[in-house]
Amino acid sequence: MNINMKTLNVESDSSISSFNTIHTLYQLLKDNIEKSYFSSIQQKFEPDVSMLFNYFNNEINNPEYNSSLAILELQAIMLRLSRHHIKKAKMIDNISRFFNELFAYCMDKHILSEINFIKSELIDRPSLMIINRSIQLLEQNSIGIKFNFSFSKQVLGKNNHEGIVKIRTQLFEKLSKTINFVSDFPDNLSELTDKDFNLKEEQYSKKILDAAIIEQNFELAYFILNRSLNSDKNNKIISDQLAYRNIGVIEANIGDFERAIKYFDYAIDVSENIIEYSRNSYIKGLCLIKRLKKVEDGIEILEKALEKLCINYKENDFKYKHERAWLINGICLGKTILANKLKGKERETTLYELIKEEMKAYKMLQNESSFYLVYLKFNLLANIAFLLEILEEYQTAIQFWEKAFAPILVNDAQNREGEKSVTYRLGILNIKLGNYEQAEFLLERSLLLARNENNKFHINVILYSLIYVKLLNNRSKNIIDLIIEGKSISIDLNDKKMSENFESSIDCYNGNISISELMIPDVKLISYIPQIDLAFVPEIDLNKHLTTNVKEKYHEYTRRE
Amino acid sequence: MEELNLDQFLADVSSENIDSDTLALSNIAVTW
Repeated sequence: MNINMKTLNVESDSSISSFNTIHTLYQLLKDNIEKSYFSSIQQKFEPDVSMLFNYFNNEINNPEYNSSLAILELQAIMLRLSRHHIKKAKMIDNISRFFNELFAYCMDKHILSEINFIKSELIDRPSLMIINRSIQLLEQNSIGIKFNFSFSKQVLGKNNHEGIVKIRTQLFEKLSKTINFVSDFPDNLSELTDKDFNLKEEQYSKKILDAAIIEQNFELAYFILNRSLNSDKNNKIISDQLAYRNIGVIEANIGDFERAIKYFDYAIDVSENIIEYSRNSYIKGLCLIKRLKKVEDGIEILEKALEKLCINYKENDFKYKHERAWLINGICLGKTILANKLKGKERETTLYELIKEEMKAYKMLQNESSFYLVYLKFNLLANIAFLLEILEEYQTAIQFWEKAFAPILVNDAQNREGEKSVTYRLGILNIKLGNYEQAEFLLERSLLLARNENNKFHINVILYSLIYVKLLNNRSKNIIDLIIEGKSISIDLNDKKMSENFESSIDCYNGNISISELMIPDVKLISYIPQIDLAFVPEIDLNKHLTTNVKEKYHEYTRRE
Repeated sequence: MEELNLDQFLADVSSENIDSDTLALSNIAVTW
């Protein structure tokens, strides 16, 4: 028994499975809390709690990792350097609240006052996301539970560290901004090594690798990838080019872009065919453009790959069309960033040419119904609408969104999430066009859809935009209620920036500041939550950057670090 | 703007048959 009324000892082991440590904590709490009460709390947070432990217990066969949604999510991570989906952030937030309710009960009943995480250097990253969020949320209330973290190995690597030490260093350096590690990473400990972790035989599989990438369990992914790379041909679970590409994505996600590029280069070098070469060049180009701000270099890589692909092109094979369209899409991104350096007619003409290029890429995929193309097809359509927005052709952009995305704007229950996002974008475009009544109508609709899915992160963003347009439109009805709600949700989410925004909107409503002093609403609904995401967070939001004060901010994107 | 022939492009896009399951899966309004 690890519990003695006041202190709960949660010891992590070397298995690095996703949610391993949090599962241990769950079991310990379950053993010590009256059964019916425990069930009643868990019920409030379902289905997330059951799903979480389904992930833990059933990694290989879990349909969540093999579903179409998972494939799309993996595509987003591996093709766009995307990160956690908002749904996962919502789940982590919800599970953290579940634990906090259990902690509150335990404190109230004097069951425990402290939790000791022993061998903290081994806590798996997904569990740490929950623990970190739980601590953030506890800041706002008076539950005085104490968290202690003890380490038996040094997790902060010294100079030039690499491999697992480096991945752990990124994690613990980031966490130390929110968590007060009592032991303060003592210097006298020996450094963590690969040998401190144990990759179980059943963990060495492609499915577990995919699951690890989806859950941002970079450490587990790292061990699987290295084992594959070091195995003989018959024992590899993925090709070397894909393994290098994956490591590059992990490096990018922990913020080491130079090393990411190095691994993408390895992937390019060992590519065995033009499709692999194109894919690996694409992600290298994207990393240069989106993360290293080396836009011209990125375009050069992408254009070279496109040229090679076209020489070896197979018209009737959709894989070739797919890669070609991706490369064109990436080149258009780079050229859009560069076009903002231009002025007047030249800028306009260049951006129109880029719309034509994106249309050309879409047409290549038209009437191809393969599921694997869906992500790119919608990305191309959204990018065309976005280019129109950058051109300040707001009316045309609105019409484009409405027509291109018409199937998701119909009243169909299955597409509500898509409808929420597009309706929000339409609301913002209508603000820019000065159609405040229409903007209000659309944002109200988006808000209703966000409320229906109980997505507080999105509710908050939409509330702010709605308040903003009401202030522009001199509409005071309900505005105070909306501000109070926004402020209250910001506190609940521990979102200090949004909290300040709502404070400013009160000042604006009271006439103390002008609307121009308020933060401009976000162009789109947020897709990841910086407080929850433990990966590297880019300093510039590309959507915002390309649509606000574009010319003035150009230098931010092209400066060489 | 006319040069882009957006109307024709959008008419072609609309004529595509995308099943509702696929639409429900897509993280639809994603730009670059």
